Amino acid sequence: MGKKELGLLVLVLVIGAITTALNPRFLSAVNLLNMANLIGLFGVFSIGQGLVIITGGIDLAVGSIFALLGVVFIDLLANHDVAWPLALLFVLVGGLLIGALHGLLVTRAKLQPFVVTLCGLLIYRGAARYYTGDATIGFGYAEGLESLTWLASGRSFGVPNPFLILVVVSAVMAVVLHRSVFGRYLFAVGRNEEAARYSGIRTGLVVAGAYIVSGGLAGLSTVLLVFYTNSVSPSAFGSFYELYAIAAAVLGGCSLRGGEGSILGIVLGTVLLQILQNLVNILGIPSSLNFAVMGGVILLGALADQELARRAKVGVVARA
Amino acid sequence: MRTSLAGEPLLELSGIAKRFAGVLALSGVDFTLRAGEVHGLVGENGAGKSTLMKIIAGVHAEYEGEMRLDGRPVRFRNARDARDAGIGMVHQELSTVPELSVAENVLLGAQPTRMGVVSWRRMRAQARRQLDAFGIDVDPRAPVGSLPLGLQQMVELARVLLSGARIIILDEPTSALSPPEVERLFALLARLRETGRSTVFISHFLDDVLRVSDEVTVFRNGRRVEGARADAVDKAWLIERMVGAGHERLGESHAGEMRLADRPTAPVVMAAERLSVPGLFEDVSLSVYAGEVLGIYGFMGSGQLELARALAGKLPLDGGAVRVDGQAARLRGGTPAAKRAGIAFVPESRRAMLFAQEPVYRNISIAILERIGRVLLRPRAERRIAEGHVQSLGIRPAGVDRPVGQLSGGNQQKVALARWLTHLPRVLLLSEPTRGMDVGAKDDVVRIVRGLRDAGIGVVVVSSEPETVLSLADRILVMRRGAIAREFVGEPVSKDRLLAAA
Repeated sequence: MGKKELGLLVLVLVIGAITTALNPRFLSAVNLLNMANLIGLFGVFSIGQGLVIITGGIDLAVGSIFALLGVVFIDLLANHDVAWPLALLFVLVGGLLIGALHGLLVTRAKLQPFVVTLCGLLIYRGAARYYTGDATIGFGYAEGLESLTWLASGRSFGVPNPFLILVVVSAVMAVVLHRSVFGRYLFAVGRNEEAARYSGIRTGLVVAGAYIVSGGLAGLSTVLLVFYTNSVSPSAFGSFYELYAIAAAVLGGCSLRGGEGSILGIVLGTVLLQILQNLVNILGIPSSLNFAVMGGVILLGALADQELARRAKVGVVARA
Repeated sequence: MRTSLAGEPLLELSGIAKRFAGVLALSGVDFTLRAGEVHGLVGENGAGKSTLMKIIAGVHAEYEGEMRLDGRPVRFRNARDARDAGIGMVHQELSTVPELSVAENVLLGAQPTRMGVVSWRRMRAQARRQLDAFGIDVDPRAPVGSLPLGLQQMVELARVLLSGARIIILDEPTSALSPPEVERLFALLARLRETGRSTVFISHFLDDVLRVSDEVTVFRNGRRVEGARADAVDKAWLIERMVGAGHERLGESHAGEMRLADRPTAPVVMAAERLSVPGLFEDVSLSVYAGEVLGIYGFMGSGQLELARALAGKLPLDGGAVRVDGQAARLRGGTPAAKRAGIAFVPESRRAMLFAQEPVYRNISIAILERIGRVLLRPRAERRIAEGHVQSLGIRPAGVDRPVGQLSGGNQQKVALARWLTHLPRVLLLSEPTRGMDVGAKDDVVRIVRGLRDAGIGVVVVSSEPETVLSLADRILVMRRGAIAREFVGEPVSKDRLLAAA
């Protein structure tokens, strides 16, 4: 665990303690399980976002991908009687393909990631709304979904499945990012793309890989989110979620300049964001202030991080 | 051509000295420029030519000594002062704005206006007149960035002339120009002389200097060595004075002659045929033998650095073919493709090559990660390999965990070389491998490069410093204006012979 992650963990504990002191219900089983569920839902796609940010890119399309894949997923199950494993596969592959498309546009057409995924954000949202004629779509009388429903929104050993899925995803992605050659390449590309090319790394493939992973995890998240809300309103479903993901990644130590970040940090960033949300609810702060609280804390975090980085640099110079 | 009106001293400098952070860059320099003369300045890199000219052009305001213009003492505090006094400089790096049209560039800051609005018609007409006056044939509406470099330079020159300059300083104006462009520039200089303007012409191309100048002055180590009428001396005379008889600088141990090895009998590892990149080099063919160090020397802008970049896949080739061990190398895919074909490259900029914040061992192992472990990393193996190289190359400090950015330049270069020691390419291209290093680090680099050569790979060293090539190479090619001008093999070579061939 690096210094950043440790600092974040301390922050999580401190804010948790303060909230508990103000309202002991924060630590009630119901509240904790509810939070764990939300952490699972938001953590999975935040990890994908983090990978993209580590390469120096950004993925603004995540929220709209949820809407588009979400309406198609429900439509397949409710109106076309597609078997759920096939529908699940369709959504996962769809996410991967969208990610691959973004990767291709960024590395081959050399478009800026911001532009590519901003267009994605607009296009997928529009497509989702057109698909249902802007109507909310639900499962209706679809049958045979018990096992999928349980997988995506049930509990195992009393723990919400989305949280367990996040644990598995983060374990796998931690190996990918911190223990695999591909992960080292991701950091190398983010830190100095030119040097990465001089080292013989096919930087295009590496960057595209990050977008593909992000797209795939967005596909997985779509299924979890659909079963959390049980219906998809294409104009609102997943709206702003890309910003939650970016916030979690940045809070977790990813630098938007690329080359910095860790899976543990991103997960802790997600945890902190959910605690803040929860704090707003549980302390009776008007929920309209929700975003303002989140923004304020992220700003403070960024300032503290900057200050620490500056001190660390002074330390190096002093020693040299 | 040399019907000079030169007579009256226009600009006189005496006893000029200049220090940078306590280091003497110029000392006791006297220099006289007469009205209507073209005055050539020659000397090696760091001899003080550009420093002197920057003093004249007002760029350096702090100096010792005296400057007189038209017999009156002057002291310029900035470039604007110098410009107002009629002194203009065309720098090596052009300061034209590529996106703007020729007319806008020529009249930049002096656009004709009509009721506060720029009058485009008058601006074009005025620019056209100005350009015509100097025989420059270019459409005033064309964006400057779309023109060949030679014409861009002309546009900048036109701007300097329009600002009313009587003294024009040209720093390395011909190094990037094609032969017809050089001719056009010389015609323009002749015209300037006829109108009584004076020109200072700084160049490494001694033939150019001798051809165009009335007077030449040689600089060495911050001093004026000697001046003469250009038609009274030749290239050998200039080189003798540029290089100096004694070994005056540390590390300059190759002023004397040395004998190069005979042409190797080993197989060719890399054969390049008729390579071209328009505007940089044309029709270059060369072979690199296994177990040799091929040095490619040329003045700045002669195309040798660009040739190395093209061979490394960094610069797309326009024509030609490259073969490694007889197999066609596909370089379209950039540096990673070149690496797969067996060509590795260490660029002149270490910053472009290294990951400054990453520890030394990761910088060394990055090129072989897939060989150490196909999918998962094996950090212990990485460190073991890196430690071996840090020891054998004498990298200081000896730890492998320190961020490479904290090492000295010489040690960073050793780390960059160590990366290719971990798995040998067939051909290793080194661009300016010893630039800016102290003597000890240079010796280490020489030792490492010899070791790589003895391991049987072909090493190519490109440089615009003769010492670098002489200290490393077994065989030397000299490039001049984007073409190979001469090969030195199995014969005596020295710095002055290299300079004479370039």
